[in-house]
Amino acid sequence: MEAALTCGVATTDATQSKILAAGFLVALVVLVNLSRIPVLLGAVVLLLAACRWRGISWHGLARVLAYPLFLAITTIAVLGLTGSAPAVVLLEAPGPGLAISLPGVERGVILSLRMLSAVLAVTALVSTTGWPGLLRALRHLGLPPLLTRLIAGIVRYGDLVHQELLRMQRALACRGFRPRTVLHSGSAATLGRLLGASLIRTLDRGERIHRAMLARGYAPGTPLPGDPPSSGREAAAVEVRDLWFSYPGGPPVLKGISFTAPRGSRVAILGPNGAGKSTLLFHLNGLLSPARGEVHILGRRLDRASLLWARTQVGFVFQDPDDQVIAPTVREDVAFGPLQLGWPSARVDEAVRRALELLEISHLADRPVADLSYGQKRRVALAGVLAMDPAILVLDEPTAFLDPAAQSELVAILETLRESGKTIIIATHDVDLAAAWADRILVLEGGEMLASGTPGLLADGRLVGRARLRLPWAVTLTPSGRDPRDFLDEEAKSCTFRTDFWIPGPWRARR
Amino acid sequence: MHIPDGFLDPRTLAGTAVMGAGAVGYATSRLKRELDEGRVPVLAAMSAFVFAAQMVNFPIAGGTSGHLLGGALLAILFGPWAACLSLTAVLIIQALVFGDGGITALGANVLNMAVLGTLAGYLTYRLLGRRPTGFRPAAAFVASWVSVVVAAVAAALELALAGAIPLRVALPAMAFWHALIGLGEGVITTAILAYLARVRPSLLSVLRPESAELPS
Repeated sequence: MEAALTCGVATTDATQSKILAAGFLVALVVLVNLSRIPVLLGAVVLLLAACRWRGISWHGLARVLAYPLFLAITTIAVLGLTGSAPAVVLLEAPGPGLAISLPGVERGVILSLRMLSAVLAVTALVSTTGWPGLLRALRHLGLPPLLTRLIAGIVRYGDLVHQELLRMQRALACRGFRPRTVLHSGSAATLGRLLGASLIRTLDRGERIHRAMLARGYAPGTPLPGDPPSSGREAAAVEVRDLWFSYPGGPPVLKGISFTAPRGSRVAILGPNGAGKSTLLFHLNGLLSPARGEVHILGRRLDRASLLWARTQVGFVFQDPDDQVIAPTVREDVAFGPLQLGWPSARVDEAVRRALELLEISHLADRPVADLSYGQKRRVALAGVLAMDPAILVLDEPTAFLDPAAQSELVAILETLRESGKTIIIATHDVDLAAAWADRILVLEGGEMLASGTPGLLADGRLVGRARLRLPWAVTLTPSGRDPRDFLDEEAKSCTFRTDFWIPGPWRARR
Repeated sequence: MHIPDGFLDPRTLAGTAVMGAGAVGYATSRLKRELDEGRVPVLAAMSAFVFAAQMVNFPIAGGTSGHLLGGALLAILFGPWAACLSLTAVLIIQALVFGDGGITALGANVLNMAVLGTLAGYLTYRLLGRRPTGFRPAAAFVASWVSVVVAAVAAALELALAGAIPLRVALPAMAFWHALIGLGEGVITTAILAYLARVRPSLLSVLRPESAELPS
């Protein structure tokens, strides 16, 4: 995140934002030390006008000012009632009575106006610079990088966690939970569970974010990988030999997996939940290291020495884009990987521009990531990996949760990439996608390779049943007298894609 | 408890800003040494959690509602320095986006909530009982209550020192309300820790609150 924050900021920009930020702070300090009511009133009116000019709606202003106004009224009341004489007596009563102190009220009004003008000034500022600009300014003002990274984390994930909490709260309400006072033990326990569960989910997300950063070559304090070593041109893109793996204290998750992906091939890994698909993918760029067996990338064995090099060659797109897309803006996030490679800034800019263009998201470049739709975040995640120009692309469940049109668009993008010579490996549950798109199928079950071969093997009902899959729809279109296997194999090869609409080959042939 | 802009005089502003910045600087250098680079995304995610959790309101008693402040929770789980930095980040965002606490008063708010509050909570938890790790419900409850009240009292003292609100008004008012809010904080923090102790005990046992480390 820290590195991502620094990208794309020219020195002139840095000086400019430094001067702006310092000027703003000085103005604010002067403002909050004014003590003449007419001057303060004038400032409030001017700042209100400035906010309106910046395009903030009355509704937005009301939301910003609601709490400060409440605080202002409380302050005036408290100081009015407790201040010293001269006072206007409101109520004659035995004892202290009720009197309003004029100097007290005046003091309260001054404090309130200062507060309101400051809130308006900050609102106008944030609407001018926007989040990314503000974060950069904070960095330039000499805030410790560790702190700016935490702030960037909140900007990127605060709303996400909040939305998650709201969904969990709604789910609780649907099951009849009505919060009473927290001093009631049942209510407290439920709230504790709600927040505790959210805390654990957030911690796990932190872990996944870290893994996604590693996958994009993040390795502070480590020398950058040198030029790719010469490897035989004929070497396969990926070769896995007898791979065994188990998570600490658990049973083996991968039991002797072997497969080869030739250069330029399209490989689909299929299998039920928990079959070990993601675990296998994590081995392909060294996020996990095997207990036994070997992984070869472009003919070079993946080990400690080749790890960083491998991560530049194997681009990894995670299933949840929110785990991968970490920077506050799209441009900064796409630049994250290239910056880890230590490229000069001109090359970084060029790579970012091309990746954004390829995925047709150039118009989103300066938008905050938090505002994007799920499908857009997916594209940003893919762009962030493509910007590093890897020879091999690994995607975990690339079509999950995408609407049908977005799925077709993704397939079209993958097709473009393959035509440019990249090897693409995906893990998926979508048998139709696998049958129509892939030229090699691997079926995993219980950590073992159940079958591997051409898409034709998906016509095998027994195999498909064992792997908790189903037959691709295309099988049902096999003309009488033809072997469904050959039909799948041939149609898979001749299948074409359109960005606007994707019809599997066999279906078109029939119409 | 967030002090807005305009309430503190230049003297108090400067004093609290220097103390707040000093403490945050110290926390940063401690964490730089003790925190593994790989844990930074986890800490960033935790800051986002505290930020989000502060928006979840719950009723306390007599029509008052409150929300988790999280200082003691973070300090018990991750140590005082990580907690301090996390809360500082949250306070900066709140001042910039929600007008919750002033920009010029940021130093004071950081000092009260991110530094004094978390440290008080952390020390209370450490002092109440010999075992430094693990889940101790009573200690967690008291520590959370103390962290809230200490921060509130510090805010009242600063407001009085600046001449904004006299001490005889600010202190009882702040102390009373936050003694109540502290009850909510104590109950919720304890409930969260109880849940974590049951669902993921490694979080409480692996963590060593005596150092500023995060779990690995």
